[in-house]
Amino acid sequence: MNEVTKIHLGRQAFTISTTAHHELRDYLDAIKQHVSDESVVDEVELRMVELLAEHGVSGEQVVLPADVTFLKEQLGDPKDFAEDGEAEPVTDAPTDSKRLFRDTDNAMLAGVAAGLANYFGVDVLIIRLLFVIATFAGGWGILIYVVLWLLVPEAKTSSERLQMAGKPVTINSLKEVVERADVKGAARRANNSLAGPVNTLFGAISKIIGICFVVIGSGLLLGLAGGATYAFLKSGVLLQDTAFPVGFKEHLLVYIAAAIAGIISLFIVLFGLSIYRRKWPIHAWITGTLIGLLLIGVAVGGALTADVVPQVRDRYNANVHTTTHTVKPFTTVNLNEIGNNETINYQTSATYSVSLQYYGHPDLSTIKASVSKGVLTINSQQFNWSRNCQALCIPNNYNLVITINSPNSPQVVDQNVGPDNINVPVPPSAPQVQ
Amino acid sequence: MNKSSDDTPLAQSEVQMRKGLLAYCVLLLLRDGKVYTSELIRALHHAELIVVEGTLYPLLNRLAKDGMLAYEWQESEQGPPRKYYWLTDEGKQLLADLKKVYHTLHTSVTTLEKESSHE
Repeated sequence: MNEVTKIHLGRQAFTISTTAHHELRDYLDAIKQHVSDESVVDEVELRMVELLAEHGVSGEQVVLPADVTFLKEQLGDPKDFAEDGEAEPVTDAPTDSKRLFRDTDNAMLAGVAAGLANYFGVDVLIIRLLFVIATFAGGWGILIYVVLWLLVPEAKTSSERLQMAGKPVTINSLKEVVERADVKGAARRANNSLAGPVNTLFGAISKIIGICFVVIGSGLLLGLAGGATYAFLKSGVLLQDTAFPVGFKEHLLVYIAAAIAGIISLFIVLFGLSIYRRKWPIHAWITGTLIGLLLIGVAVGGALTADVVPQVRDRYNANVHTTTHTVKPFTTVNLNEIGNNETINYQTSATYSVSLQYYGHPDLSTIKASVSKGVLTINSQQFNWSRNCQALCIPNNYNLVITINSPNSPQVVDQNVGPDNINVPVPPSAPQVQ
Repeated sequence: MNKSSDDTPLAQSEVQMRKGLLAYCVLLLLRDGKVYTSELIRALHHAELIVVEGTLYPLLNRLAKDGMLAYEWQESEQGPPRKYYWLTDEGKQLLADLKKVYHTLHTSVTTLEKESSHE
C-alpha cells in the first residue's frame, strides 16, 4: 500500500501506488489488445490525464487504486474499444509454451520458487523444500536462489502472468486477469496438479513443519546466546589454556563462525514462520542484507580457515615434546599409581627406560618413575595437564603418553586389570618379545 | 459480476441501438466546427448517448481513417494537448445522408408504433 512508483501517461509523469500501477497497466494492456491503432491508446492515456485532473489528482498527488477504478468506470470495459465486426483480436504470442517468470503475486521472497512451481506445474511447497534441502547441502540453495532472482524477470504484465501459467494470451484470458478474477486464481487453476484434499493435507503438514523449524531455530539461537554470554563472562580466561596457543585470527574465526551460525539459525526461524504463514515475514531488503552478510562471513571464514589450519597444526607439532629417562632393570611394572588419562605403550629396546610424550610445558616433576627390587613403579597421579584450565579446555586429546621400553616383556600389576599384587600376563596391547 | 445487465435482452438491444446512432450523433456535434474529444464526450454524456467513453475512440478513429473527419492536435493551457476534430466535405455529405436514413427510420418506427397501438 505504501509503495509507490512512477508512471508516464501521455508523456506526463505520475506517482502511483504499486497496486494501482498493476491495475492500470493491466487495463491499458487489455485495451491495446482490442484496438488496431496505437494512436487510440495514446489518446486514451491523454484522456486519463484529463480525467485524473477532473477527479482531483494532479501531478503532485499519488494515484490510488480508487482513482484507477474511477478511470475504468469512465472509459469502460476494454472490449468497448473493439471496433464493430472485429473478430477476436491478435494474440501477442500464441503461447502453448510456458515461460519462466518470477511470480511476485505468490512470493514469499522474490517469487523464484512460486515461478518455478508455475513452470513445472507442482505445488510451490515442494520447490521451497528443495531449496531448503539444497541450502543445507553446502549452501547451494541460497546461491541458486540469488542467481535465479537476478536472471529471471518478474511477471509484470497480464500477458506475462498468463504466459507464466502456460495459458494462451487471448482477449478472454486477459479480461479474466483484468477483471481481477485475479491472476493468482488463474495461475493456480492453470497448474492444478494437486487436487483439493492433497492441498489440504499439504497445508496441515506444512504448518507442522513450520512449527518444527521455528522451534529448532529458536533453540539454536538460545544456545548461541547462552554460549555468547558464557564467553563474555569468561572472556579473561577463555581459550588461554586450550591445547594450542590462540592468536587473533583464531579468535576472529570463532566470532565469524558464531555470527554465521546465528544468521543461519535466524533463517531457520524465518523459514518456519514463512511456511506457517505462507508469506516471508520480513522485508526483502533485510533478507538481502542478511544473505549478503552470510556470504561475506562464509567467504572470510573460509579464507581464514585455509590460512589458520596449517599454522595451528605446525604450532601443535612444534609443541609436542618427548623426554626419555633411563631406569634400572625391572621385570615387573606396577601401574597402580598411574593417573586416569595417561596412555601406556610398551616397546622392546636394548635398554630399560621410560619415555614421556607431552604437549606444551606441563610440570613434569610431579611424575615419578622408580625401580626397586625389580619393580618399576610409575606415579603420575599428581600430574594434571589441565590444572590451570578454567574455561574452554580440551585436554583429553593431548594426554600424556608413557612409553615403557625394556628388552623383555615385563609383567604388569594393575588393579584395573587383575587382583592386587599378583603378576598378570602382559596385556594384549604390549608387543610380544621374540 | 460487474454489468451483469449486459446479458439481458433489453441491454443487448439498447447497446446495438446506441452504437448504430453514435456515428450520426458525433457527426451532428461536429457540424458547427472544431470540437475536441473531451467536449464530445461531455456532450454525449449529457445527452445520455454514451455510458462509457471506450466506445467513442474506435468510432472517431474509424471515421478519421475513412476520411470523414479531419483532426489536429492543439496545446492546452490546462492539461494535456487536445485533439480537435472537424467534418471534411465527405463527412458533411455522410451527415446529410445519415440524416435522411435516420428520419426515414424514425418515420417507419413511428408508423409501426401507431399501427400496433391501434390494435
